[in-house]
Amino acid sequence: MKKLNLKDILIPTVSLFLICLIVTALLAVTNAVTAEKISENEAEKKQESMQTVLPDAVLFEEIEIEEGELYQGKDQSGNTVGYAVSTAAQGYGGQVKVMTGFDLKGTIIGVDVFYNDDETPGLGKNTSNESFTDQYKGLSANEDIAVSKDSAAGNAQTVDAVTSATISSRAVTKAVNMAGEIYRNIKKEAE
Amino acid sequence: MQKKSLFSEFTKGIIKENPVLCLVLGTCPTLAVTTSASNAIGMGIAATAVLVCSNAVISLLRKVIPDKVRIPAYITIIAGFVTIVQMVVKAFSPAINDALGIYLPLIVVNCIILGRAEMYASKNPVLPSILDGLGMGVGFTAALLCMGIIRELLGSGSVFGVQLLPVQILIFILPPGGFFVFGMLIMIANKLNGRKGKKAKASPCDGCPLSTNCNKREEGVLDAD
Amino acid sequence: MLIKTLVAVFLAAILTENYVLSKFLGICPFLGVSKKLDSALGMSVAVTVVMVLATAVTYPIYMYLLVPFGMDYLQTILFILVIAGLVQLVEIILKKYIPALYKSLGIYLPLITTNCAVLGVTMLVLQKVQSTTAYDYTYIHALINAFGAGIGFLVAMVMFAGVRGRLENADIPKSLKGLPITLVAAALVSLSFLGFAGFVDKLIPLG
Repeated sequence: MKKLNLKDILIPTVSLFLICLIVTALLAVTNAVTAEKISENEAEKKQESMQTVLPDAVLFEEIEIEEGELYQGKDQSGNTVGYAVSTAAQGYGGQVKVMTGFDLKGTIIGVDVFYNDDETPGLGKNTSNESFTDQYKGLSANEDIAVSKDSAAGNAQTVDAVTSATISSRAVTKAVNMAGEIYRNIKKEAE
Repeated sequence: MQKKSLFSEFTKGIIKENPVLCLVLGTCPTLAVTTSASNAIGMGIAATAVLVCSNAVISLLRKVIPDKVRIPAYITIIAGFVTIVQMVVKAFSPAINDALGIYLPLIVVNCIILGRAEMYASKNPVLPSILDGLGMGVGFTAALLCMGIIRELLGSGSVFGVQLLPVQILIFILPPGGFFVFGMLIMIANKLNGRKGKKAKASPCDGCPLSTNCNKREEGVLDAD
Repeated sequence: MLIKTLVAVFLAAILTENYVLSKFLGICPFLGVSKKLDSALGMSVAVTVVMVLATAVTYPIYMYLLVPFGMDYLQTILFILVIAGLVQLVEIILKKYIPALYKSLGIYLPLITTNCAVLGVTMLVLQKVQSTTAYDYTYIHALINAFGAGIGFLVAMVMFAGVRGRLENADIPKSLKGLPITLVAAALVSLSFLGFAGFVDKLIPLG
């Protein structure tokens, strides 16, 4: 057994510590530089999505709720034209984030799948296509929606799943239903 | 003469020692992100950036880093650059960040990067190391792009999102298609190399930076003390 | 309810979210060490142990240290160092106290540091905390998930070792020999795992 030399231990430890310190410092600097831009990007993406599902609104005000995100959409003269609700559900590969727009009567004006990058390309990812999301337009928030494949129980409101992507389609539907529930709650409170 | 050899440092990674097809390194991202050509390019560029930076820094510090802790030191430096690249991508190209997802931070454990640090940058001056990193990165990107184009064309009928074929053979963008296309590409590389009378790599472990360590132990030279 | 979600997480990690065959994590050992059954087993057991240990350590670090202080950008660097340290620690402990086990598992340990499946598990588990909406995804779920991922790795490795045993004697074109045919075989194995899609959701409906 070789005798342990203090120098043999100290030099590697100190140099490794220094490397870690420098790298961490560099990361902190980069983070400080990019953090603002990153949150800006995210806000922008959300704004775009809200605009898609509530085309009549020009201004969105966030309303604090326990679960999900709720935005009140207002037109230029400050009248409320509807609500945009952001919800998420578990898809095939990961989270699917959906923005749903309701008018004041509780009819769905638009649905936008703004994050589904963990889903399979060519299958689950197609849930963000308009040919799928447009099916939700005109449905009501007062009743749950089901994927037509699953509606043996006789749901009145159904959408056709994207071919070979039933799980992702179910996730989007579930997120829309969650949005509907949030909408119903906010309506109840308002009354 | 000097110029020529520097140039060859750059080109060797693209064809002769292509990290993916000849050395079979970095297989995970090769299979995972090549579902579309644009994803493949994004991954390739991100990995190249990390590779060039880490090669440069490790080569600069090659006389300073004590031999005993060199692997943890390399890993720290590489992880630092990966995180920086990740933040930059998030800030300036959020779509690529979303598409690459978990595989972006996983560049850290891409054996190409640690492999080049250990095999090349730790023994060579800065300029050749940068060129080596650049060459390997371009080779990596080229192989990814090749896979990405084939899989996107067959799987979704498009290339870079432009629809070219009316038929879509979905299986090519699903995991099995990834394994299959990769196998076929290596077969072609083997065939071409074989014609030139070169020996194909026997085991995928050969290029792994830690393989000498593990092979030696496997052969029973384990009990050193 | 807790047991039900735990079983669902465990089964999903093995079958539908198999790290090797559907997420492409840990491909290097999958191709490199699956030639013989016993080495495939040894590697998988070592990976499973490190996965669970790493998750056990990184989860609290991330949740209670990095997030409250807004330093989650240090995730990658910290996790990889924790894993590297853990691997070393496990190696030293095994060598000192259970030399028999060290002889059979120790050779695989250094390979695990750069195994993307381990880093992948610690990161994906944290993503799940945010993305699971049907129930509370707790520390126990994270550990079970890591364990399941390791078992999934084991299942894939052992199955594939069997397939490769058959390949040894197959008469195939010369340029396909070695890695190419192995990858084609892997394609077929992963194809069979595609059949599990939606399996766990149907078996154990949640929320």
